[in-house]
Amino acid sequence: MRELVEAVDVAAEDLLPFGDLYRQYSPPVYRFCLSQVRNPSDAEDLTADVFAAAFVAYERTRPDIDGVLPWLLRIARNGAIDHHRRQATRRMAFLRWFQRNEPSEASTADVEREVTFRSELREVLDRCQRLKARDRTLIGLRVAADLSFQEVGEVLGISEHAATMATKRALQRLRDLYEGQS
Amino acid sequence: MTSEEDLLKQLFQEVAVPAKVDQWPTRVRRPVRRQTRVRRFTPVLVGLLIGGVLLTTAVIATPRQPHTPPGGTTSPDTPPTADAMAPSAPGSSPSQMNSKTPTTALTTPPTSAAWPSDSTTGVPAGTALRTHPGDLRIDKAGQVVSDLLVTGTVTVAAPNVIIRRTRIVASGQFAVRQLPGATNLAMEDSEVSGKNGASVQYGIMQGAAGLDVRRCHVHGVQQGVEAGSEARITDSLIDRLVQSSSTTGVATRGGTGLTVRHSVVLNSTAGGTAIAVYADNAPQRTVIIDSSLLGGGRYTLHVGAGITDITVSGNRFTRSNNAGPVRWDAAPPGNRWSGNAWHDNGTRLDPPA
Repeated sequence: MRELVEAVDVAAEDLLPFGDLYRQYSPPVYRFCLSQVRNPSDAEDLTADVFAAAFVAYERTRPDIDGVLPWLLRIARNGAIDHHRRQATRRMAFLRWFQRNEPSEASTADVEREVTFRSELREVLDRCQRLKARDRTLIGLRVAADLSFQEVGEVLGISEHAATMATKRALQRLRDLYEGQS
Repeated sequence: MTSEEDLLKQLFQEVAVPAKVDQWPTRVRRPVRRQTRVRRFTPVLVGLLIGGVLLTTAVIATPRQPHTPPGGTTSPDTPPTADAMAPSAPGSSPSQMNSKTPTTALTTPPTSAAWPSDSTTGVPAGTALRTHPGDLRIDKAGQVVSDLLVTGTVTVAAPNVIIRRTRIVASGQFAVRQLPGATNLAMEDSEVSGKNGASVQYGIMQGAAGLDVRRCHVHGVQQGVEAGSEARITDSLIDRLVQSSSTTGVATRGGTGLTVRHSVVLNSTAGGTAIAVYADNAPQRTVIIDSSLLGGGRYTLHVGAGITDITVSGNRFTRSNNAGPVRWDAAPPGNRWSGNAWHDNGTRLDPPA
């Protein structure tokens, strides 16, 4: 038994330098953030916040090399939830004080940046905003951040099987939006 | 992957990271200087604390006079409450998941030194086995099957079946399959494995309430035990699992009552987990993982979201995991973590953050 236990023991790997981590993982994290908040400016802010928070916690958390991206995306997911909560609070306050909806959140600069996206992507982002938060998260993790189902499950704390099924259902609901069925 | 998924992925892959994101270092929060304020109040707090302790000690030390009601008779002592009479949970008094415990070496090893092994689990040495070639279906209630070598899948289709001193070498999807309605299956001193080179998915698949696995050795399969409700795994060894996309020693995906006690569950493959507790199919309640040696997997123990009333106590974890000893997504209340330690040096393992 002792040999068996020793055989499965492996040495912990050294931490990846944070600069390398940022260069390697900023694209999927940004794309995930974009899928969650739609607005490129908000996505930039959210992504920067994710890496700032990750930097503070990196030494303490010491995620292994395969677990870095799911870890970053868990931070990003929490950030996106906070973002939507703040947006909702702001909308409520605006309604209460001015008795009307706040102006469109897209500034001129954002619009200029948005036109650099393909129209198909803009449409996907718009429709993602009409999905429930959980479906949006699943699609963001699977499609925007390009995670495997196992990694999606890891971010959300569910099994790989549950992640597979839930993502497929979320994609179906996105498809339904395209087909005008819901 | 569907072509639609491909298309969506391509759309996102074309998006580059804007330069503004590079400014993340400006957002790193600097530590707030609160120490001066804390220091200012520290003497007051310490004074209050000492005063409180002295006062409490004085009150406790004062002999209590029996309470005399106005009628003049002495009231009997108040009986202890049910909480006070209840035995403490295994290991020690359970601490809530969010409690912080210091990282110190344990003074008392939390678990027995004699872990279940090849020699204490499975068919006892010297047992003469009769061979049952191929699959075996048990459909008589209360039937006891013993001293057999089964070279196929054992399907249990009746309640209260006992499988004893039996070696099962399967090559299909299941080694032992408990069908719905076949409640209270007991397996003792038995060995469950996949045939060499076969991709057996499940060692023991629980399909009805009630499964007792005692002194069994499960190996050579992708998933040792898929548990449901009222499952108990004791003094057993689950190891040498086969690599798959989700290799797991013991998994549960919904039910009430899973106990893994004084067992060894090791997943030496690169992925999966040793023990996975999920609520995929139904709420999962009352899970006890106690006095066991756990190791390997991506996370050795993965407790998913939505689990309530789980006790993890007195276990030893090897350092063989790839991502961490524990991934814990369940939220309190009702979840307890106590007396768990690293296997190699007995250092206390803190509750997951």
